[in-house]
Amino acid sequence: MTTNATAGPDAAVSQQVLTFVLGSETYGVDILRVQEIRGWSSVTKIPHAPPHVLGVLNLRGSIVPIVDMRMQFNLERAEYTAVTVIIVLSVQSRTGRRDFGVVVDGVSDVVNVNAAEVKPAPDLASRAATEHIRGLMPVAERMVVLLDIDRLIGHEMGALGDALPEPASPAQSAA
Amino acid sequence: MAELDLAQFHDTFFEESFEALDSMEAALLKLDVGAPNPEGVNTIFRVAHSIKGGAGMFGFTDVASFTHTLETLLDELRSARMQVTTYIADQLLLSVDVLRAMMRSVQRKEPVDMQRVADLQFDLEAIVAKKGGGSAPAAAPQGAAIPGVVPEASSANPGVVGVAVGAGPVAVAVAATVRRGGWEIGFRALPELLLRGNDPLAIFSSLAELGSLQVTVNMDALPRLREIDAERCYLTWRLQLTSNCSREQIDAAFDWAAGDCEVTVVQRSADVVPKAVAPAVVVVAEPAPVRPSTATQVQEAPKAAGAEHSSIRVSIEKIDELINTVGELVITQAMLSEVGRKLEGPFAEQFRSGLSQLERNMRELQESVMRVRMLPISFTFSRFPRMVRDLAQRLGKQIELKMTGEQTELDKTVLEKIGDPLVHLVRNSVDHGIESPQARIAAGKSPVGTVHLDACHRGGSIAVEIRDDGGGLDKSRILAKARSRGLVGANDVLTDDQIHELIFLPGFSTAEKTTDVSGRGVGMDVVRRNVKELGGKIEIASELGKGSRFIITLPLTLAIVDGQSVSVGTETYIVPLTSIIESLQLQPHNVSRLSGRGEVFSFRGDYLPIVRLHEVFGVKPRAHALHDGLIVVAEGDGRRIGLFVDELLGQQQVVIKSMETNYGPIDGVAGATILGDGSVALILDLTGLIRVAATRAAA
Amino acid sequence: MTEVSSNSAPLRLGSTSLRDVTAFQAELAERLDDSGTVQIDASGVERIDTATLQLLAAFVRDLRGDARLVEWVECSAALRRAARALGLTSALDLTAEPG
Repeated sequence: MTTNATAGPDAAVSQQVLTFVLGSETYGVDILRVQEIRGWSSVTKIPHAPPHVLGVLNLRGSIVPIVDMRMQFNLERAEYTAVTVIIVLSVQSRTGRRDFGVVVDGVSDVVNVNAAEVKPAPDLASRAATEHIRGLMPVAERMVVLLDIDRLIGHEMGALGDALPEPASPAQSAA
Repeated sequence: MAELDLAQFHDTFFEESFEALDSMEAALLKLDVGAPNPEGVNTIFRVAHSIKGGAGMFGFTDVASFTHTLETLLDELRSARMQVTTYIADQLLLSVDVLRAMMRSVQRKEPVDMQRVADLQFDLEAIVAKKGGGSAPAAAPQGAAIPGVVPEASSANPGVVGVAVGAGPVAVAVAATVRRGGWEIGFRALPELLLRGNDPLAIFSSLAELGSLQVTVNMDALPRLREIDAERCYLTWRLQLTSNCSREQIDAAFDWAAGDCEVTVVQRSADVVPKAVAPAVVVVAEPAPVRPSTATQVQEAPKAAGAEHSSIRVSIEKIDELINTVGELVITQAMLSEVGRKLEGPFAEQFRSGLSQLERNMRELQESVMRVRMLPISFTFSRFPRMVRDLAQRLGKQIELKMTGEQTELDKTVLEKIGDPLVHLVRNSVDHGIESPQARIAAGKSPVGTVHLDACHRGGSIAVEIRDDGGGLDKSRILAKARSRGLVGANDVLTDDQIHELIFLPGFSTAEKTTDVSGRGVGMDVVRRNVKELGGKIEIASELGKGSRFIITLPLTLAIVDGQSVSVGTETYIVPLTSIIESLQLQPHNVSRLSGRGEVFSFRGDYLPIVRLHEVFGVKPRAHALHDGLIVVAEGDGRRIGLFVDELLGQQQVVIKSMETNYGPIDGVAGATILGDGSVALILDLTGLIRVAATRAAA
Repeated sequence: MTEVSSNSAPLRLGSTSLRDVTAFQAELAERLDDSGTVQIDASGVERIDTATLQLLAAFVRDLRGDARLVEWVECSAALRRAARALGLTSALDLTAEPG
């Protein structure tokens, strides 16, 4: 069910996000960054990787690191089941394009974004960092947290030194 | 983007066209006017035709139009509707000049001398119209000569009928056959050349005024940027000047520079145009002429005058793409084989046999594709005769350099990177290995020392050996030096091999290099590192008083490695075969615990540390007790260890995939590969692994 | 995927002669320590000599050895002609058309 959140003829430019579920929250990432969605398969562990980097997978010939988003959002680890999904995203970093896979609970709809409807991220002291959040958008009765994928993966991969992407400028983030 | 692509093709077009013009010129010179070889005429026609086609395609209409006229004339000749006369042959040669000049101008985006072109075109059309009759029409040429190209006959034969004396282009007359000749000029700068205000640029442009000049540069003697003495010229050139000028005119060009350069001038007879010695394999934009040398046999370019040996230029990106795709095919085929093994049913056997055929085809394809990037090691070897001679002279030693196996081919990238290590090793042999003539005589040897460079294929690798009959490595001195630097404990006992290995330690060789070139220190440690980076290894054998041997083993290609699969718990790792010495199962009594060194086992008289792979990588193994698993004796970083794993799986060739694209470098991991079942396995880097293990042990 | 050198300003070449050549060598040597593609702006070159071209040839070759590229953002006709005259066009990675 695709919700069209556009108001009227002079609504701001829309773009589309893929929404997915993690725990009790719904998140959205720029559809143009989504390379692939696939089911869970066992990954090859990387020695001494940070805990949220589960390992690597072969994705049509490329070696792609798989990251557990729950750890980023301080949710408990979940079991990876047959319905666990991996979203493969392409991220812009200082060294160019890098692909990452993120493990989520399930994928939802593709939704249009109207810039006018996006509210800024709440300034909550309890959140570790909110720079990876572009904003919040109401969709039906839920709030979708729009993610800046370049910044998000930057945090995820922060421990890997060179793998750090440059924090993207807001105009560029398009997440 | 489209414009950029076209530009790339332009470059190729020009290069190919210049080459084509050369062959056209060669064919013309060989043409016996009385009894012309039909094949020769055909060749000439084909060249003109292909240039016309290319020019037309790129929109070089002037070139295309002129070549079209040329082609028309040639067509008449090759179908014998017209006879070749001396006059016609000369006009054709002139056409080559004009075309060359024209294309140069187009290439440089400079104005073309259309007057000259038009005049010649007029003459050619006149020939066709008259069906071959004729003396030189009294063309009244106007206009300036094309920069760099001067009419061939004007200076040498002012009295020839029909020639307008002056700066204009000329139509060559009939009777006085002015046959095309030329000169081969070799030019080498001596150290003071530039400092005395001479510049090869000026010299070459004076030469270019005498005729059409082709320049080939040789950069072999040019050191790395930092080591260059910027005021010295290290380049040498071979020039081919097509001109009827006199020897004096050429010498005049070198007047100012006399004494500061070595020049050889050889007159070419009019009939032979020696080809530039060029690689016959796929050329990838690298000028690397093989220099002939008395001490060695050198690959003779199959493009020797007249021989038709076709090759095309291919960009290196295309080759890499091709190799990549073949790599993917290898993986896919492995996957299919895996499925095939498990298949049951009526067609399973057929399927499996089809797969095995596929595997054979794949192997062939792989080998062919790899060979595309392979070049003979002579490209690297060619610099040594000169280098050894100069160095030996400087040091007052007498040294004979032998080179064998120059035809041995290796991957282009490996070839490029092996140069520096080889230079260092050869320098070492000359500098420190071979003794002075007096010392040699005193030792009962011939005063002339020998340095022998050899390359050959061994198994799936290439082995390059540098052998000298010098003084060999002095173990006691090495040990003493290592001790004095704290690299070895005062009471440590080392085997001969271990002592030899000491010279690879960083910081070991610095004091030795008093006669070496300053700049970025190139110690033996750097040599070993370079070799390791290529996936190879280096070994030493030496005998005091008799000489030394350095053996470098390199993989044939970088993208694929022969590996031994091992399992640790649920994980599979690949150990490169070049790192493996042996695999064995330990008995409890082989193992000891040394304080400060952890678990060790005895191997060929040594105690080697045991590295538990599961510990280093944080994986849960199946075997904990050493005798329940296996030990893979491997080496890296100059050391040997026993790698403890659960079991050995198969040996196979694996395609190396980079971890760095999407992830980053991992210590102890060289890359990853995709196994037949689609899963990812990490390929170990022994050097990194051993370092990691050492750090953990110290912690 | 081209990666521009972290020393991001293109290397600007002027008309160098034997006098300046050692300083030029030092400048090039610095660039060798970087990573990524080196951009060169040679639009201002009206005169150039063999010593300079020789350094450039070594520079491009050493870069290649590190799997790095040279990008000629701009190149004067004078440099192209001189490179051609010495047979260094491909050694310097110059193409016929201006980049």
